[in-house]
Amino acid sequence: MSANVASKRQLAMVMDLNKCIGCQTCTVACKTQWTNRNGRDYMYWNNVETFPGAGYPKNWRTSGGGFDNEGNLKEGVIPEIETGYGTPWDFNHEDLAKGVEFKANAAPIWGPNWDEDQGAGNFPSDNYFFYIPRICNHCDNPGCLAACPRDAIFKRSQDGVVLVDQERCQGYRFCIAGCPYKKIYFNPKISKSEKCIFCFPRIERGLPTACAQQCVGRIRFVGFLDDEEGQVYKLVKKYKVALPLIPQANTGPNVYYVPPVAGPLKFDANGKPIPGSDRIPPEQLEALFGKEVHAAIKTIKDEMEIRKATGKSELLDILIAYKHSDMFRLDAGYYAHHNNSLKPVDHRYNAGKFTSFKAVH
Amino acid sequence: MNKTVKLLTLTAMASISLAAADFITAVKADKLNAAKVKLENVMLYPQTTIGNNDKEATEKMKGAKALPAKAGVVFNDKEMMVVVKWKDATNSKQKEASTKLFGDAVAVQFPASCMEADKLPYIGMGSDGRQVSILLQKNVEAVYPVAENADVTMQQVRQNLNMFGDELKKKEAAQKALASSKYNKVFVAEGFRSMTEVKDAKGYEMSMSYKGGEWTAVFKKPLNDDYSKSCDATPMAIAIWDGAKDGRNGNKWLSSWTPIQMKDSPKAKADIAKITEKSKGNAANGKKLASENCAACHTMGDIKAPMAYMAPDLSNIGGYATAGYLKESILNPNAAIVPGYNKNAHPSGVWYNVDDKGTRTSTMPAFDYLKPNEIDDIVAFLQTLKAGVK
Repeated sequence: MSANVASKRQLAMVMDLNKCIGCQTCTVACKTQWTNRNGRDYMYWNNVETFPGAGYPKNWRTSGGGFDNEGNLKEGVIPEIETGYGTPWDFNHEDLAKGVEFKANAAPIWGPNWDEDQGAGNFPSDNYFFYIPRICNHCDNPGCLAACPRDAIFKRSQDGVVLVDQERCQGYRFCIAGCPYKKIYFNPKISKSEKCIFCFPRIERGLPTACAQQCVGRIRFVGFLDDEEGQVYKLVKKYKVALPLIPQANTGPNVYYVPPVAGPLKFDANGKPIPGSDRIPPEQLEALFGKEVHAAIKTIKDEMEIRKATGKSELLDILIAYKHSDMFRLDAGYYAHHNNSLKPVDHRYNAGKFTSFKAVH
Repeated sequence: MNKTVKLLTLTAMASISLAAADFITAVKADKLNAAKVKLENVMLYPQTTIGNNDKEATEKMKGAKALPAKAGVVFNDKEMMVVVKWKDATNSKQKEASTKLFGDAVAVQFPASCMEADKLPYIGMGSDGRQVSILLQKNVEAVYPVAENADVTMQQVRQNLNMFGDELKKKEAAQKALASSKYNKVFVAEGFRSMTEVKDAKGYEMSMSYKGGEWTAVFKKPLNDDYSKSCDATPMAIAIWDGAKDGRNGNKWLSSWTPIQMKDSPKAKADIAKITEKSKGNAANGKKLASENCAACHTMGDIKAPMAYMAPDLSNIGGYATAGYLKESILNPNAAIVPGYNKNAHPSGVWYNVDDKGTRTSTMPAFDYLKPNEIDDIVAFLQTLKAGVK
């Protein structure tokens, strides 16, 4: 999108929402790999939230960030741990042996997927829900990067992964306000921002991200967007059934979602299901995935008919997700032969880094 | 009657004492001691040249008034000590379990070398070829090391430690011991985007303390090192952040270059005169000229530019820019280029372009066709642009 941050290639992920069961295995895989320590314990780089709902962090969809149609970065707000993310709490396991009451050491008022336990709607006539797993979108034009006054955030040219240079970051937190997905976090213990790194140390060894590897529903596909043999390419570019989340934020996200194709049916006055009906309001899907969502759903439904008639459909074969080796098209060799240094956007200051800086006399 | 006169005199004295001093007289002493400095008034103005995208922080700083501070310097042959005092109703601290709390902070800035007094580095952390060094301290509860320690158990939370009872308590105490309550850093910079921490700076000491609604910050540094030099009149600028107003980065108050007289020499006096020069031009005519020549891009107080982000907002420029800088920037905008917004933040309002070699060219044309007296008038007008005192 912007010449300033364009990468040569782009890694992408596709998540099939029709198969997400909200088991949070991805969340735990990510947490135990990256965020169980040193001030990251409140963060969920990967979270799965129930839609409709306020999400994680709370009300992220109305917290600003991203770009207007002229390309100007929009204002945003920074969530607080207790009210926005949820304070990590613990239980008094150790004291149970002494006969005390089992209780939490805090009274949390929000947390990851708090919505799931709240529920809403008019059961059973119009209620519906589905899950949205979310990681950093590793955008073409990241809002976090544009918001950083220190050029501490950069997009790797070899795969488009967006990272924070921990040496440059000064903990100003403008990145959090700038991200329309609120997928960059402030670590108050080290006073720096941190985010999903697309498991780049795994990716560089040819392994998928931890969240994708562990996904029990096999909903996640990982690969390069320009790899025409890859399933990511086929879902996003060929069949156009995988769509970016909130595209109107204008950041060009690189995590794509296969939208829910069929929600629960509506009931008629006699309590009988109405064939062909769908409780998920189309405008809700449009708000999440753009107007293209209708064409995507139609393509999948058409392919289902073709499959029924002929027994053949490349698209449905991909969505069935037979083999990890097809779902994850990565290449350790590519990284081995690529200059892998993590170059920040503006490297004029490298001369001063770690070393004595010679003043001009 | 006598009482009234006395009161009036006191009021007059109070208002005099609030006026910013032209320079700070450095006191020479064998042993550096904060009590030895001669404090002078320094006025700091809200930084409005460049905005930010934090909605709440922007709202909190809206309509901010000037902030009076006091500063003094004591030095010997090897080191100098700067003392800065200012009033702040709240002692704001960055906490280790909050994403939204910001700490009060203070920084002092020096040019990297003794430069010509009318060609000092850009006040916003220098500019290409005109480096500055910055000493920063921030009020924090605790800051832990970033890097993954070889012993990962020194970073894990209790639920992941597989430890119980005394063993767990001991481990958590050891983890806590890694934290520092000091956030003191030395930076070099050639413009605010390029600020880079100097990790091997030696001989720097900083501390800040809050008492009775007032902060006192002390900075000790080598008199001369790789990062800054002592001059006859050493220019210094001060920045102050208010954590209660979500202060950090550009959300701050900023002084102009304030000379510290280190020597009683003719050069010191000449440099002080240059750094603190007030234009003798006609500000009223300057306002007219600025409306005609500058307002297409620059917002200047009540004169609003047609498009936001197009160019530096000059609404407080009189508070933190020298006459020399203003004149130089009108005649040669490339002399000191303001780093501006991230290029991706406002792509249609870039403040400079960069060629293949990394050379920056300002998008502002030189206004060198204006007559010298017209430039003086514009500078005189720009020097009036600053927020009032509370």
